[in-house]
Amino acid sequence: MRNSVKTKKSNISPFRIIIFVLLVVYTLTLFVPLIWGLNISLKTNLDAVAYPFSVKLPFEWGNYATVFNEFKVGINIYGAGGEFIKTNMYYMEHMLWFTFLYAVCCSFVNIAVICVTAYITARFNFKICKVIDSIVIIAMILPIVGSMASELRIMRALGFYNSLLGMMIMKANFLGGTNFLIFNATFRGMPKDFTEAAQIDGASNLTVMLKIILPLAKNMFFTLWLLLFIQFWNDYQTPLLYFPNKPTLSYGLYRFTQATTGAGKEFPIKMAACFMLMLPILVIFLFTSEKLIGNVSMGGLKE
Amino acid sequence: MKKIRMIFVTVLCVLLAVSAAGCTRTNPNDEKINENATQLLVGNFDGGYGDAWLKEVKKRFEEKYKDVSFEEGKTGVQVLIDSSDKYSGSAVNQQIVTWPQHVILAENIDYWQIVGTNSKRSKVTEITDVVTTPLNYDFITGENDPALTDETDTIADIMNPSMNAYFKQEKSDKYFGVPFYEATVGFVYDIDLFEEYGFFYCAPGYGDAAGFAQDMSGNWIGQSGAVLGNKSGMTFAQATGGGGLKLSAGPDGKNGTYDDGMPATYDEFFALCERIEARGCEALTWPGEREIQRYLNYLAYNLWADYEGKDQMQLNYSLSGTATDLVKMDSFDAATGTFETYSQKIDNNNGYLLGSQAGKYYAVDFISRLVRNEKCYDENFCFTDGRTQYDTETLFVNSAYPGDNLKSRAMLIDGSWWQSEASKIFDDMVATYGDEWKAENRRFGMLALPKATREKVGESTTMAFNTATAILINAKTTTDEKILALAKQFIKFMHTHESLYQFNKITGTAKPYAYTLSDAEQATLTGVAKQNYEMHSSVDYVFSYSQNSIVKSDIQYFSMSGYYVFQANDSQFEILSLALKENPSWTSWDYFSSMVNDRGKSWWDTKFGSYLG
Amino acid sequence: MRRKEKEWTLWDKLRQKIGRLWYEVKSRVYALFTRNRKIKKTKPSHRRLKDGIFVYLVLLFPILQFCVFYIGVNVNSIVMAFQEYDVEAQNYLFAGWTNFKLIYTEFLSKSLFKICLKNSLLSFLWIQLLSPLVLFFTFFIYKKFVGYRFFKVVLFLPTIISTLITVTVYKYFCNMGIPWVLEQAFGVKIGGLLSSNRTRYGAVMFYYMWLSFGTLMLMYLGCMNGISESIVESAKLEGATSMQEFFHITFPMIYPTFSTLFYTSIAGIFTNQINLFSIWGPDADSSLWTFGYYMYREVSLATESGYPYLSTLGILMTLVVAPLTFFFRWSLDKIGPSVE
Repeated sequence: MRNSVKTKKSNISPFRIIIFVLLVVYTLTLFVPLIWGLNISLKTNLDAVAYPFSVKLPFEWGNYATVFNEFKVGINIYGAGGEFIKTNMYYMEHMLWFTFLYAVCCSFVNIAVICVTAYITARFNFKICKVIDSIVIIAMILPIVGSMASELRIMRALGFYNSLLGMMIMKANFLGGTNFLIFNATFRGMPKDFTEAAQIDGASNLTVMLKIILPLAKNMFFTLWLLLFIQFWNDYQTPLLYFPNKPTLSYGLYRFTQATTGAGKEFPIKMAACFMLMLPILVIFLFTSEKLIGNVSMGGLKE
Repeated sequence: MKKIRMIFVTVLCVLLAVSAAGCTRTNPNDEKINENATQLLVGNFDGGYGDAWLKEVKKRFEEKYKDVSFEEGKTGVQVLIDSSDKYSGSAVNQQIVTWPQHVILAENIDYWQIVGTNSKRSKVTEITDVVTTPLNYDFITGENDPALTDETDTIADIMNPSMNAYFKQEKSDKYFGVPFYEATVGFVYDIDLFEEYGFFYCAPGYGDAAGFAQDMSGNWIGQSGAVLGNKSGMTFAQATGGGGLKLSAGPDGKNGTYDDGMPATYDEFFALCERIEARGCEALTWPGEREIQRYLNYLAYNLWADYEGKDQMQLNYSLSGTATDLVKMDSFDAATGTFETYSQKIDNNNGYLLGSQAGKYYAVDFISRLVRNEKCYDENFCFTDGRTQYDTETLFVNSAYPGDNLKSRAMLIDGSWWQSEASKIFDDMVATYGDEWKAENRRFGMLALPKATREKVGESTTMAFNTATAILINAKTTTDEKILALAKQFIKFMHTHESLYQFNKITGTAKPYAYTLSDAEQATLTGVAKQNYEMHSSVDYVFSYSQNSIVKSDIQYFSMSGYYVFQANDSQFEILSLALKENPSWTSWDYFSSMVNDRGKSWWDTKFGSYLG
Repeated sequence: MRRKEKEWTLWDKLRQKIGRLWYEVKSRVYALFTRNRKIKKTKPSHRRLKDGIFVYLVLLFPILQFCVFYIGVNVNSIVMAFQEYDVEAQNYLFAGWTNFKLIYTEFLSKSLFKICLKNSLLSFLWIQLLSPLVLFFTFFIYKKFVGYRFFKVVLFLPTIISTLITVTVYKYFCNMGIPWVLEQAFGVKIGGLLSSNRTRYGAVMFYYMWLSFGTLMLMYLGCMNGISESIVESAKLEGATSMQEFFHITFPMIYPTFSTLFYTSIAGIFTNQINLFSIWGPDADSSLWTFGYYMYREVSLATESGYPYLSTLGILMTLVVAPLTFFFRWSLDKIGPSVE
């Protein structure tokens, strides 16, 4: 130990220091725009336009109130023949609800299907299990680009377009790539005696899965779910394509950032909306940063 | 683990709580429906004009008919206004049949497309009686209104003649709508600032070496270079009032008119911009937003119209008459920038020749000179996407406040409706700095358009209308006779003298009707409103639409707001300011000749072949 | 598809597994064709029957879902490539090679496709050129270890904050912030960096690479930290210099991640939007377009009548990208270094 510390010390050279400083500068630059934006979000439009770098007190907290009241999306509803029927106005709370359905439920369904499928393929020795294993790998390697149009057509044909239930079904696939492999490896790594003992006691396969194995993996399950949740929370492109009539917060933010009329015409308000939507993710990160980073790096698989 | 679960639970709780709180939210703009009155639904395009003026009309209208019963068991009328940007563009034509609204105030539409070829099955109701009966005739009572005895003119009588020609169906003399507003784009200027710095041209023999009322040090300069006083001790009013300062005659060449001292030619205009810059102010500001760069196309269109004059410009829409200043394309002398022109009789077969009107070249040249002279404008602002109209107006309006050390901004390129659009900015300023910053206390005006050449100085100003607007009655929903009468009366009501005056007062702009405001009424107008009113009365307006079959078939190629009017380089260039700014190697002549080539005979024959004789 | 944050760390471990399964798939396919199937048939016991029922019941939904949303979608994609939409009748009709011909002629005539190709390839190449630099920097953080935790957290944040947010903030920072600073400091006016045609392309690319730099660094850092201490220590004892350590231990150890990132980013040539949609929505200047942006934009704006054309384009892209991916996967495996 002492030895290694010594070698590290001897490694300090001006060259390394320069590189280190460069890296610090780099990481800081990632955040300069964000801090700048945060300051802008607390200014009046005039101050933001005229003095983009000054800090003006008192802060204009009203911008956030404005966002809460004015963050809305008007969705035009068309009939079967393409005729316009009405405009539905969705406010933040409606979008929050759609976001809940998408980011929480869809991601849950997705991760649950992956988990259960991975469990089956890991613990049972049937032909289908090998086939599924192979499918996951092939789908991971085979790059299929530009199937969105076809997907949309199928969604429309099944009546899943603009439906969050449809979205859940679409997302309920086991092609989770690495997620699948992580679960698979975890379940394979669990000793068989556990389940065998239970089975001798007369427990059914379902009981074993739900009561014994899955609880052992719940830590990983929640973490992967959380990561997927964050990804879905931030995703505005899927809602835009597949269920534009049920705007999620991210999709709403996309519309808001592109707006030139309404409250969004003032760019401090736009910034405030951005930071308001970032807040939940930051809070989650604050509480789970170790878990998230740990799981994303090797931690999750360290035996 | 516990933490994660806790977070999920918390998120859920927050979601539920916020959702519950949100359920009680009602839109403050939603008016409660009065079950005891008859509802008249009005759809209003929510643009620069807002709906404050319409709410004013609504108030008077409801008050006037509060005791009349239109439906059994109900008394009075409730006008429900839906302000939305959906009442614009092709959506109106496609969707009008699905809207519940009875009366629709629409912008950017193709009126004749909505009316359609078969007027009996039109999507909009014929309203010839509204337009051709006297304003004091009341559709609801069926009698003349005793309160309006003076208003014996019809709407058709007071409507701008070229608009009238467009809205009236040629063969049948039927009307299906009336124009909504008149709007144009130009240079808005801060009169207070101009007067403070003496940004005016003087009569020959007066002013400093460059002809300005003040020299660089702020001294008022009178005849033969005589210093009359300094701006610190002498106001503009004093200098011109008896101090010995005499302003130039301006573009109209007449002394004593509203354009005295304004730059008469393009050269003078750019010299003025440079002077403004040299005095430490920002000359021009316009929104950098890509979509709004189109305003400079509108400006160019206006300059083109102004050069050509009303009759020549109107040829672009009538396609019938003799064009007198078409450019001989092979006669351009790059060294002097001059060319020869010729005359040509124009009809449907050779309408494309109008693309080579000299005015169009000068207009392109103006924009080219403007965007390539960085002293004229705020480069960081005017070409930055995301700088909205609202930002621009914010800076322009606020830059006058001396406490903030903001660079003073002299001019804005914007629509004549800008002050109505900026009303929140004025309100904010009053809230921060006090009542003296109220819109009513500020002085803004529209600069008279400068002329391309010295020879043109003295000709009257011609301006083009901005967009196709119309007030229509929705045929699908307005079938009940009483509702129809109500809708018709509402349209008529919007055109009484009081309503036209209120519109002018609230929005600051005029409607395309002839009306005269009394001195007392004029006194209540803001500076902008008053000047718009004066311009409305003195300027020749051309209306960039007609019932010519070619023009009607694709209005985009002809109208001021058309997207294709200034296309060049195989249609890759469309927005003048961006194209000229981003392609510095293109001279204005290159651009002009490319436009002429793109829209030559072969294009015309292909595009409009079916209409040619 | 944007690369997910979690893919990287697991690669070196999971790659073995992938390789094994891949081999299995290949041998099975081979067996299928040679008709030499020697799969033992065992008599299912009662237990196995119960298991079998359970397994198939549980897998019923996932398999069905897979059939519709993977097989169905991709087969439909191919079918649609030979169809066109009849707006009047509101259904799809057989159209032969029309879509392919249309794309062929448009590719030759439309400058847009050439722009897309150029930008897509450039964004790919830039990232590949960036990779050695990233490795170099990462190696220093890894060796130095000072502030390791700090970097991990800080580099992680941008990956979980919505791109839409960071990009919007960046857009305004470039358009309103930086020009203001330059004007105040030097009196020069350059216009918005993301507006002016002189700087627009650079600003988009810069941001794309700037963020990628951090993400890549985070990946490699996690990966390098997974290298067993004992190997490094033993190399130290043998007197290896940092350079030697990098080339003989670190790089070979992370090579699987390196190569995986490379061939997955090939597919990115046709899916990468370089943030254009987040910045401008569908209104990005056409000189900046990439295929990823073009595809997403067109799909988001298209009605049913546009789907066949877009499907065809998608298939053509897959036909280009799939062999390329396999080729690079194969060749990178061949040339890969080994730990000495």
